[in-house]
Amino acid sequence: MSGDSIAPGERSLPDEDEDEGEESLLEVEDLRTVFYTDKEEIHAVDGIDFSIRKGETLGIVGESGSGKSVTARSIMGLIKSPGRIVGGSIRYRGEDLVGKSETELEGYRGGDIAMIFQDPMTSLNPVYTVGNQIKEALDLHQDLTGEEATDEAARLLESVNIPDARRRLSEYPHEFSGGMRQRALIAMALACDPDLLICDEPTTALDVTTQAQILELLQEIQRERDLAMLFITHDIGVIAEVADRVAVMYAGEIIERAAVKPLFADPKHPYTQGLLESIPGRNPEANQLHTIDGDVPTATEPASSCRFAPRCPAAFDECQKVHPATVSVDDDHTVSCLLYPEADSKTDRLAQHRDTDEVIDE
Amino acid sequence: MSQHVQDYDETTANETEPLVSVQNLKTYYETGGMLSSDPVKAVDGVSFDIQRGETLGLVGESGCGKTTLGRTLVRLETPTDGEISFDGTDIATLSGDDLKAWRENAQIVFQDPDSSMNDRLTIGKIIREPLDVYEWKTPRERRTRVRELLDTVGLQPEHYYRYPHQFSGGQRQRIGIARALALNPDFIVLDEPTSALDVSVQAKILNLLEELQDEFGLTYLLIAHDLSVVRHACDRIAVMYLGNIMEIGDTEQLFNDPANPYTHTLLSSIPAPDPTIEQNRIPLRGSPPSPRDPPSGCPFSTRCPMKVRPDEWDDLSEELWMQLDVLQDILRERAKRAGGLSNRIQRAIGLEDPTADFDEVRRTVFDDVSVPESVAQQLDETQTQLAEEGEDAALDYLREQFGSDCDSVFPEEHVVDDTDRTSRCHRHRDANAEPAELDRIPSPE
Repeated sequence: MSGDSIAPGERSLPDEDEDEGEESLLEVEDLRTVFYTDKEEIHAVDGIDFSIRKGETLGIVGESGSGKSVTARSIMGLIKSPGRIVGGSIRYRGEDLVGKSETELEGYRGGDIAMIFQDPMTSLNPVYTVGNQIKEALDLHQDLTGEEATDEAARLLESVNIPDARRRLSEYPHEFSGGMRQRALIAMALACDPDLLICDEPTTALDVTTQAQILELLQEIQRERDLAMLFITHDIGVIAEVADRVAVMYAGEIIERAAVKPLFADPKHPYTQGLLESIPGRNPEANQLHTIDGDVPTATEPASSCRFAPRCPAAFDECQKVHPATVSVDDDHTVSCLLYPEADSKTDRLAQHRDTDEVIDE
Repeated sequence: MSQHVQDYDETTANETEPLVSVQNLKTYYETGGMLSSDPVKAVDGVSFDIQRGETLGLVGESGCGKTTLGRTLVRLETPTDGEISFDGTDIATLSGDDLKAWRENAQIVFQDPDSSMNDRLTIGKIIREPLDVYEWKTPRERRTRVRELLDTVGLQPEHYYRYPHQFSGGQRQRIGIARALALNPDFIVLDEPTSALDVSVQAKILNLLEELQDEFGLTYLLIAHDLSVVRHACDRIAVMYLGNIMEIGDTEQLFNDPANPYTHTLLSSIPAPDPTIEQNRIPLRGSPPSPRDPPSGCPFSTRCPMKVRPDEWDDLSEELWMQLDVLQDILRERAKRAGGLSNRIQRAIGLEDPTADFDEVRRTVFDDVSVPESVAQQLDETQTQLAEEGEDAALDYLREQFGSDCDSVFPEEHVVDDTDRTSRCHRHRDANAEPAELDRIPSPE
């Protein structure tokens, strides 16, 4: 991050109190999204809570299959059969989006909440010019047409640092490079002047140099427009760079949540610890890379135990029987693991976790 | 992975000789279209050695030619020019039976474990295929060998009769590795073996590759775009840009003190997995040039933040130089498109005028900077060139006026440290400041 950006973690974070609802732009509570197949039920998102405040970036990090993208799609109302949101709420400015009709949702999509996807090539229509596609968004959301729309589209492309914007409008997606396509998509997302931007692995398909440009651009836009961002990625380096707060997902659940600095400096959950240690760059001297045994499981029923237990180096017998509750270990730092609260004896801890699935305040 | 010279290697005769030695290798794709016959210069004259038992990393952005180079080394592509000496034999021109006989020595692991396997074959059959092709011993012994291989890469013997779709990405990559090991090769090209995998799985595969190298005395060429992977796994690194190797040398030296401006840029782009680090990022400007029409002079010259500037324009501001680059970038992109058929026809019948909106472009580009009269004159002349001869002439003109050796002379290889690391950059010549000393660039942390 450069220049006058606010260093992550340094902005004052209000405590997770009752009045939080007023601060948050988006509040997700106990969200559950299930896919019903002939063979089984997949609990892709299994009771997650988080909130995003105006102007901040929440990073969701996790391996493939952890439910990150389903979370994003649930918020956008893009879950289609055989998937269904079976519980919880998604409140945008206090309004619950779950259960809203398609027409009602369309009012939010784009205008209030916009999304950019991983693969910029498949998100653009190859048979229309880039200009056409941006103008379509402008027509839909801002009622701009004709010359006015063209001017605005060129201005948007310029704002995402595409030189020679006016000419570029008449080109097709295949004439754009990968980074430029992602810029065009960002321009399109901005066309509707959203308050919340959901970025689902926006730089995964790009080279590091292009990724650096796109991250820089996103941060610039965020500063200018005071955008809230939900940033989904599997790349821990990217999370470290863009996020103010981080939620770590594992098999459909958020297992740890904290501001970015404490999370990297002092990860609490054994999974987060393992994940951070397995990055090659973090300990260049180590001969062997740290690994986590086993694979991410697919959640086929609601959690009745800790899903990470079979792979956890710190697991004990009860981990297979008790579902861990969310424990607050520090200001704005929560973890779902039977090892916490550390101060209590094991028996006390287990009793607390058994009793409640709610946040335990120390 | 340290440099092991294995004593049970069959070819111990020339331990000091490199296993692979590449001289001025070129691989062009001749996809001559109707109008332009310029080939895609995917690999455009590279030379390097790979020592026995070492891991050479090959990094670069997509489209820089690293995969083509890897495929050429195992002769999945036929080089256009140059030599590849493998253990003393020139393999660049092998064909027919000789090529097949040699291929036993060199294998490749592909990037995408989903598409590099036939989904209708069992795992056993997939791994056995190379053995069948080379009629290795008896069928019974082949089956035993496959079971051994499954064990070697950390899978179970009972996986023999399963199908690829029953395995996860990490396991499939293990199958790919087992297949590459089947014929006991000396040299394996690993083409982005972990880029489709999650970090925790990636760590397992990297550890496995390292163990196998120690056990079988393998020599690796590891192609990757993830620089942290390369740093962890490689003894030496080659940095590629637009078909050329810009810098090659010892991994730690290269990471700690990159010599080439491109290496600088690349390294500064990696997001550090640590939120407390403030990175000095060197932004890469402009778009990558087309490998059909690489820049004359240094391949990186069109985007280089440390380009040598001619003395007579010494007093121009940094901002103005940047905008001049933007203008050239716009013209280059337009030139690329002007080659297309419809564009040519439109231009020929006067439907499109290359200078029509040049005034506006000029206004937007130079809007925020003050342009001295001398530069303004050059821009006027550029506009005249553009009107008379088109984009290429305008670009040539700008290059003549504002360019330097970077734009016209291909840079020599310069030895930059005592580990024989070399870098291609005109800045290494005595007259010009070393790239790292230039204040246009934030110094590496």
